Amino acid sequence: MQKGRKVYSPHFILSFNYMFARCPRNDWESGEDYPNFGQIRSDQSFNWSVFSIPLWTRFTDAQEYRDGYGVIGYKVKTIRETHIINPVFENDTFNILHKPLLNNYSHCELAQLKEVTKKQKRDLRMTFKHKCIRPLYPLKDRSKTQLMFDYSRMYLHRFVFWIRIALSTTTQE
Amino acid sequence: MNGVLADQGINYDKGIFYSPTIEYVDLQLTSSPVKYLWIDQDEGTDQTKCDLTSQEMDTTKSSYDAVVKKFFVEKITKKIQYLQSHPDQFLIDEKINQPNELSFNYTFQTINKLADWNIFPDKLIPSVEEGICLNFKNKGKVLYFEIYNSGDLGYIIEDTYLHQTTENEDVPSIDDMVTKIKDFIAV
Repeated sequence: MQKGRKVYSPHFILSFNYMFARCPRNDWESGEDYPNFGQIRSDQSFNWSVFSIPLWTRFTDAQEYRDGYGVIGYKVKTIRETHIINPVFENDTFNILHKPLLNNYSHCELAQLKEVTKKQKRDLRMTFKHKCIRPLYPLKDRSKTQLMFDYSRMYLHRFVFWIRIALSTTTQE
Repeated sequence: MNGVLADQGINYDKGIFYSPTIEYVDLQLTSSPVKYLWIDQDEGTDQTKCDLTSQEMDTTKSSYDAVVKKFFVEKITKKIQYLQSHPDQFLIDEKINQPNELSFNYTFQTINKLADWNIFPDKLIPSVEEGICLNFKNKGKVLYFEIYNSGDLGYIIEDTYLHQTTENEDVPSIDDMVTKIKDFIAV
C-alpha cells in the first residue's frame, strides 16, 4: 500500500534493478517462445524489484491474482540505454518514473521523453523481447528455492537502495 | 471426413494456426506425391474415395485446394468471431482498448487474400498495442503484422536465431501487406 509513503525520483532507480511486467497467455503453449511480440507493450507499467518480487506482479491493480499471466522483467539499464542497444533511438528517449498506486507501492511507469512513432515502438518492443528475463511463464509457479532467490534479490536491491538514499542525504547535508 | 493432401506445394510447414493439432485433416506426404486432392469419406460403413480431379494442382491458379482453404479460413474466422464476442481479460485488466471493428475487418480481408495463396497465420492474437497481431513463420524468421485500431498497418521481422530485427516498416495498404507476406513466405 502507498500509505502516504514517498515517491522516489528516477535518480534512485538503479541501473541493475529490474522492472517486472505482466504478460498475457493468449495461445501460448509450453515450450513455445514467450512472450509473443504482440504481448509486449511500449506503454508499460512495472513492479520495481526494490519493493516487489516477480510473483506479486501477477496481482492486477484491482488486487486480483492472475495465475494465467506470465511475468517478464527488464533491467533498468536496458530501458535507459535503449539508444545504445538500438541506434534508431535518440539518447534519453526513455526513463522510468516511480508512480505508486494505492495497492501497489512498487508501481513504476515507462516514460517516453521524446515522441515515439509506431515504427519506433515496434523496435522498442522487439528490443524488450530480446532483452527480457522470464521469471514466470503462464500457469507456472515459482519453486521454494526460486522464491527464496526472489526475496533475496528484493532485499539486496532494497539494501543498496537505502545506502543510496543515505549517501544522498549525507551529501545534501 | 478426412481430407488428404498429396502435394507439397502447400504451405503447411509454415506453422499451423493456433492449434497443435488439426482435427479431421491428415497430411500424408509420399515419396512420389500425386498431384491431386482426394477426400476419404468414411462416414458409416461405406468407405468411398472421391477423386477430386477438378481440384488438380496448378500453380497458376490461386484457389486450387478449396477444401484446405475453406478449413483454415473457417477456423480463423471462428477465432476472429470469438475475439469479437469475448473481450480479452488481459486487455480489460490493463485498461487497453479491445480490437475494434476496423481492425477485425482489416484482419478478415488480409486472411482472405492470403488464403488465395494458401498462406495462413501461425497465430492471431489481440495486440496489447490496441489491434490485432498476426504471426507468420518461415525458416527461423517470424513476421509480426500489426493491424492497429486506428487503421494503421505495420510489420516487423525477427530473426529468432540471431535475436535481431531484420525489417521494420509501416505499410500503406492491405494489398501491400499481402504482397510483403507472400514474399516473406516465398523466400
